[in-house]
Amino acid sequence: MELIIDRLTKQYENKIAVDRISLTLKEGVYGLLGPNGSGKTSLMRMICGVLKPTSGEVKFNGIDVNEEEYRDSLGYLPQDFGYYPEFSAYDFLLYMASLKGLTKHRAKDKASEWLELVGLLDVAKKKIKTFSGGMKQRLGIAQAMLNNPKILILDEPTAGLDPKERIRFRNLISRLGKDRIVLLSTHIVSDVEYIASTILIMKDGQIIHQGSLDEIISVIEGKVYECSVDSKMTDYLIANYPIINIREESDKTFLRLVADKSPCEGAVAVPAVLEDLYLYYFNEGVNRDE
Amino acid sequence: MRNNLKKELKSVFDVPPPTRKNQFLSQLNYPKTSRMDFIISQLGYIRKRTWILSMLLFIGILDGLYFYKVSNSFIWVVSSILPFISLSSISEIVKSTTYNMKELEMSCKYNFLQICLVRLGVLGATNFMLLIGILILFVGKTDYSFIRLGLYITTPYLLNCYGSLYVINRLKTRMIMYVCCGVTAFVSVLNTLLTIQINEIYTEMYWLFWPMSFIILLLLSAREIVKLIRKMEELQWNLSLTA
Repeated sequence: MELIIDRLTKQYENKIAVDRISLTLKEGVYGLLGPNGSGKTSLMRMICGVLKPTSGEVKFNGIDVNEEEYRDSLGYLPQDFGYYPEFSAYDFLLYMASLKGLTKHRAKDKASEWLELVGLLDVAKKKIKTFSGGMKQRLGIAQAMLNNPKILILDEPTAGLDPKERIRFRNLISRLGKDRIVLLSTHIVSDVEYIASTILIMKDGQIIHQGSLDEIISVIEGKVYECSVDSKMTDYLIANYPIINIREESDKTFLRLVADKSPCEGAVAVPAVLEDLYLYYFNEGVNRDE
Repeated sequence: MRNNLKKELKSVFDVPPPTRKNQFLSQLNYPKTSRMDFIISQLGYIRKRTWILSMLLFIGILDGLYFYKVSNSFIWVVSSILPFISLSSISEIVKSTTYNMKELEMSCKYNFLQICLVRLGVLGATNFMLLIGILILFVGKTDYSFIRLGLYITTPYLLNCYGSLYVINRLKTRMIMYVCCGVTAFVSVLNTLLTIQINEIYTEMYWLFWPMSFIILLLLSAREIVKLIRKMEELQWNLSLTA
C-alpha cells in the first residue's frame, strides 16, 4: 500500500499554494501541521482529486488520482462540509454510500455500524441541522469510512470540538490508522503529537520537516530555555532570540525561547516539545500574557 | 450422535477469540453497484417538489385544453410558465453548491460530475417528454403546425436555460439559486410583455424571429453546458482554497 505524491504543485494566479511536494505515504497516521495559508487544504484537495494540480501527480498503488478506482479507495472529510436540509444522519450516510458504490443492503449495514461506532445511533433519524459541531464532525468521519477506504484524508477533523470530543476523535483516528493511510491536517499541535506516527510540517507550500516526533523535535532539542528576567534583559532577549512564550510575572518576565547556548544567567535548558518547534517556525509575533 | 459430539466438543473447548478479524474483512471484495444501479439510486434523490411541479403544470395545461378555447393568450401563458419547470431542474443541479455538498461529492467513486450528468439527463428527458406531450395536445386544438407551436413554447424555456446556466457558470456564491429565480422571473415577464405588446408576434411577420432565436439559444445553451461540465471536474478557485 503506497501513496506516491510526485512534485505536486498548485499555483493560483500569482500565488503558489503547493510547491513541488514529493512524498511517499504507507500505512499509518500522518499529521500535517502548518498555519493557515500554508497550503495544507490545497495539498489535501489535490490528493482527493477535488483540485487539479498545476503540475505533478498523485498515485495510489499505481492508480492515478483521476481514476474511479482511486476514488473507490478514498475516504475524505473536508474542512467544511454541508448536507441537504431534508437529510437525517442515516439518510445522509445512505446517500453517501450510494455515491461510493455500496449496494443497498451493505449501505444499510455500514451506515448502522458507523453510526454506532461514532456514537450517533440514538440520533440516527434526527435531522442533521439539529446536530452540534462535534456530532457533525463524527458524522463526517462516519461517511468517510463507509467504503472502508485505504486512504483516509481528514482536513482539520478536530476543529470546533470541545476537549472531550477531541480526545474521543483522536482515539478513533489512531485505531483507523492501523491498516490504512491516514493523513490529517491541523494547526492543533497536540492532536498531531498524540496520534501521528509521522509528522509533516508545512510552510509556504513546502514540507519543511518530516519524521517521527523525536526526529522532528531533535532540530531544537537542548536549545529550548526558560528564564525569568527583568525588563531590560527581556528587551534584549526579544531582540536577539526566537521567543516561544512570554508571561508577565509580578516583578519579572518569564520567557521561553530558543538559543544555541544559554542566553542569559539563570536560564534553564528544558526538554523541547512539538509546540516549541511549531512556534519557533511559525510564531512571527510574540504572545504576551498581560 | 453427531450433534451430541458437537455439543460435547463445544463444552470441552473454548472458542478462541478472532484475531485480525478486521484485516481479514477489509481484504474481502464486497459487491459494488453497477452504473445502472447508481443511476436508479439517484432518481430517489431528486426532490419530490421537482416531480410535483412538472405534474401540476401538465395537469393544469390538460385542464386548460379541456375547459377553455386555445388562443394566442393561452400559448403565451404556457410559454411563460414553462421556464419555471426549467428552474426546478436547475435547482437540482445547483443544490450541491447551495448546500456545500460539492466537495464531498467530488471525492466519491461516482463523483459530482457523474451525479450532475445523471440529474441533467433525467430531468432533461422528463422536461423534453413534458414539452412533447404538451405540444401533441396543443397541435390538434390550434391552426399552428407542430414545429411552429414548438418554437413558440420552447424558445422562452431555452432562454431561461441559457440565462440560468450563464449565471451558474459565472457566479460562485451559494445564493446562486436566488439569482436563477430572478432570471426565470425576468424571462417569464419578458415573454408576457413581448406577447402583449406585439400583437403580431405569433404571425407570419415574425416567422424568422422564432427559429433564429431558437437556434441561437440552443447553441448558446449547449456552449454553457459544456462549460458547466468542465467546471464540475474541479473546485473553482476562491480565497478559501489557499488556506
